[in-house]
Amino acid sequence: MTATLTPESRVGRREWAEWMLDRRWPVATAVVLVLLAAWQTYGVIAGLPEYILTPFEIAGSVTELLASGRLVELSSASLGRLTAGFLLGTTSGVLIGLLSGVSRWFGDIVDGAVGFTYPIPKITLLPILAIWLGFTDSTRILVIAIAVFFPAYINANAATRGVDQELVWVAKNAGAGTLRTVLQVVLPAALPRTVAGIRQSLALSFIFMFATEAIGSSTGADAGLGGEMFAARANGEYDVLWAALATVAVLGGTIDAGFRWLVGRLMRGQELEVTGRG
Amino acid sequence: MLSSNAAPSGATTMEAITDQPQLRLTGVRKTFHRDRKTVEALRDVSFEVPRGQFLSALGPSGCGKSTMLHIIGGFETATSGSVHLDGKPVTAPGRDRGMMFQQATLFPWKTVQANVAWPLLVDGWKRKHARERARELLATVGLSGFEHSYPAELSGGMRQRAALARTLGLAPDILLMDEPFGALDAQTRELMQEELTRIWQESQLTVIFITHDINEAVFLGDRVLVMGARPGRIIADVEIELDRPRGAHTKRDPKLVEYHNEFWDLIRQEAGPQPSGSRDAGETPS
Repeated sequence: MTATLTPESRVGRREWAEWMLDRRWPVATAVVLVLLAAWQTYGVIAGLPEYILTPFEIAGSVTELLASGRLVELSSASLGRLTAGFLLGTTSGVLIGLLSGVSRWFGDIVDGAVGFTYPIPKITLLPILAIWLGFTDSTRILVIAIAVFFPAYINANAATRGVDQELVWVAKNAGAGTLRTVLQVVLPAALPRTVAGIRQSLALSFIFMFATEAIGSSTGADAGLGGEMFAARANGEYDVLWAALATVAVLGGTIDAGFRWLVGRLMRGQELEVTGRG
Repeated sequence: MLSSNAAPSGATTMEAITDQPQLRLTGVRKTFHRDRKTVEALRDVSFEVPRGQFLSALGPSGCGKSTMLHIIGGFETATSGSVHLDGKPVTAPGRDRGMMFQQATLFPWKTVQANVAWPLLVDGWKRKHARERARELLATVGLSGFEHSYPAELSGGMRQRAALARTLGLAPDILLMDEPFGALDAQTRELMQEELTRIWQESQLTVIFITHDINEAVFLGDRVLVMGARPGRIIADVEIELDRPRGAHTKRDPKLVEYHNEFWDLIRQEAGPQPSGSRDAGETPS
């Protein structure tokens, strides 16, 4: 190797070092596999209560439900509600949050209203909205939307207010007008924290998808994974219960991983601010 | 106006303009309200800067030197007093005064080249021309080959080089530099000082350079303003008679050491008998 330090080799070497450090996933995977193996072994040797299945039994049940088409039916019903609620809640949360961060006047008005409603447990809205709209998808979507609005709003608002004063001065120094400064400097600078808020909303949308389906749900095609789990528990169909739970876990993990991958692609040069793993 | 009186009778208008200092601060005062108390950040700051001068402003933290620079830049307004640039009062930020901060304040979501090109695009340049100019500017500050890197991939010194390129792209009359090398390690800081000297000598810009590093102020400046704290004010105004062009050899010049000692004595007197830190601790709200 030559000792010349071209920009390419410099960046290349750094990326390589980071890549090596980031290979923690084989270890993480091994830990999960060991835990699953222990669970399976214990189940086979010592036996588990009737309502706890071994990993292989759960896998079998998932395969069965997949083959029958029931799992796809349930998942699409759930994901439909989740998507609608998530999009409605985060879009309005991010937009109002950014706007109230940019405009003090608007921000002070909205902040008061949000501060007042924030502490209300959002799930308590379900019976109230059900009086008005019944136990329908509209009610469920609305509850999910209201719940996910808050992390999206709070983070987008704080992100915009927290933009470094000096970045704004750089724009003013260049002679940029207010609109250009907001669109090209303040909003991009606020993006990492805003996105972190959206990710919180995404996690919350899964919780509320499950919670809203658990109450007053049908047992038909649109039961959703949450409704099906409660029905299965009542009927003692523990294989279905576990299969639905595994599906929720896999869907949640996959969607979150996909979200982080997308954000990583779209936000080169900026770190994603996340509490927990990023 | 004083300047018109001072111009010799019969002088042409052109001469009168070139005789006039480029920048003039007159009785600039700045007060802040903090915890219901009025803090005087600057008191009666007045000085003139001729075109092409490299002026260092030296002072301890809390002496209001950054505030002074922000007022010249038009980012903050003086409580009273005035700032005139080429005879016109300063009221807002403008491209004629290029500001650099202690942090590089690059846009982290843009590549180095896009960062440097951005102010040009704001000015209405064609994308292609802005890109070409950005490359030239990056070459000037020694960053060729890093056009497509993101700020996070660069060292602190390289980021400040990129910020300098961006500021030079404004084609300013005056560079306002607020401790731009303050966050760099000692070696990088020395190299950046020599680099800035080279770039300034080639451009003949007017520079106001804020620092708390005595050697830096003397090495770079044609003239050093020494500032005292609480309230921030000018306690000395000294011409630096070190040969130009300056470079690494200047740092071994015995005159530099003399200046260093002279300024240290001033700062020590200003600080009084008690350790300099205790004054700050008493009044700085934390």
